[in-house]
Amino acid sequence: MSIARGFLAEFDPETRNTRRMLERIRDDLLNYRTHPKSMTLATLAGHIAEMPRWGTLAVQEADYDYQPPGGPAYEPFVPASRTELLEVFDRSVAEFRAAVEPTSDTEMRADWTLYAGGRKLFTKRRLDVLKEMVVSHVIHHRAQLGVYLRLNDVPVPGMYGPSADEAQAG
Amino acid sequence: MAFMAIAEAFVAEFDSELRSTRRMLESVPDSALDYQPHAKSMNLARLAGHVAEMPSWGILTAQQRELDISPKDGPQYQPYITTGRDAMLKFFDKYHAEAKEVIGALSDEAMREPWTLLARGEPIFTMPRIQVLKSMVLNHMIHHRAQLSVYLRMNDVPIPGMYGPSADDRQAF
Repeated sequence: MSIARGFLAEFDPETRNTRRMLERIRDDLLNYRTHPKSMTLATLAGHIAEMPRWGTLAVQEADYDYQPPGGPAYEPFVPASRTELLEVFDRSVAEFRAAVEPTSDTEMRADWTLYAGGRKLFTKRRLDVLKEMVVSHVIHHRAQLGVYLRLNDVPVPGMYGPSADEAQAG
Repeated sequence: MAFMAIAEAFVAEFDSELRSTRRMLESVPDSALDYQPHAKSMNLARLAGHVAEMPSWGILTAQQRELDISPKDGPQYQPYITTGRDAMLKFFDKYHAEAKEVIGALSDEAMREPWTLLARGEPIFTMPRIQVLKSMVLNHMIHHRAQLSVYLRMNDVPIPGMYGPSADDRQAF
């Protein structure tokens, strides 16, 4: 199995679970936050939804500066509605899958660098960047989103076994 | 085709995430262990304990080919519940080290072996061992660690960034 296919074998089931979590969002909860320092639900959900776009970028380029000197800083996606959120998510996932699937093993093992304002932050293998940013990082924020939903009494789907809302009695 | 043995690649990623997990566990204050954000949710002691016990689940996954989480005749799974930060960190460190060794020793063949989770004797899933390690151990740990970060933030505890700086981090990323 190619490295890219092996990557998708992990990405796909986690992405199905991510969609199940995003589907629980309600428009009236978009401005909710757990703490003044924390993201709103809209920002958190938007961050999750656009993460595969970073993956597409990581496949197509060898590096990225998210605060390019003299250029506009990166603008995060903040959805205005559940509908918009899911549309952006589905599109970003489809584009990313199409970009990563034909990637060769050599390209997956190649170095990839992140910069901020011209300063190098890290260089890692492309496959490690994809795993960390598009899979692990999404799992992290998706779990936070689950807490935001639970605090608003929204039933949460289980990610690694049944959630408290799904656990059967007896 | 293995460029790196399956175990070597997995342990590298697992170890990196375990070091991040330690930084999160170090932030757990003994004063907030009873905190429970919602009646349906785990309290902080249980959640932190669940995060801390993940390396031990990795060892179990490596050493057995199946596990029944609620055997019909036999002791039920006892979750690790944190009673204090220092004891929790000692527990975590011990299993972190052991997990690296035990998992690191697995051959590619052992990593591809089918592994089954059961409940009351009924199979829930069967997957190659490496998939169990990636999803039910590593990704599952990341999931609960992130929930823990929300619990801590809601108690005004500064939290370390996991994938870039947190709102509490002073250093420019």
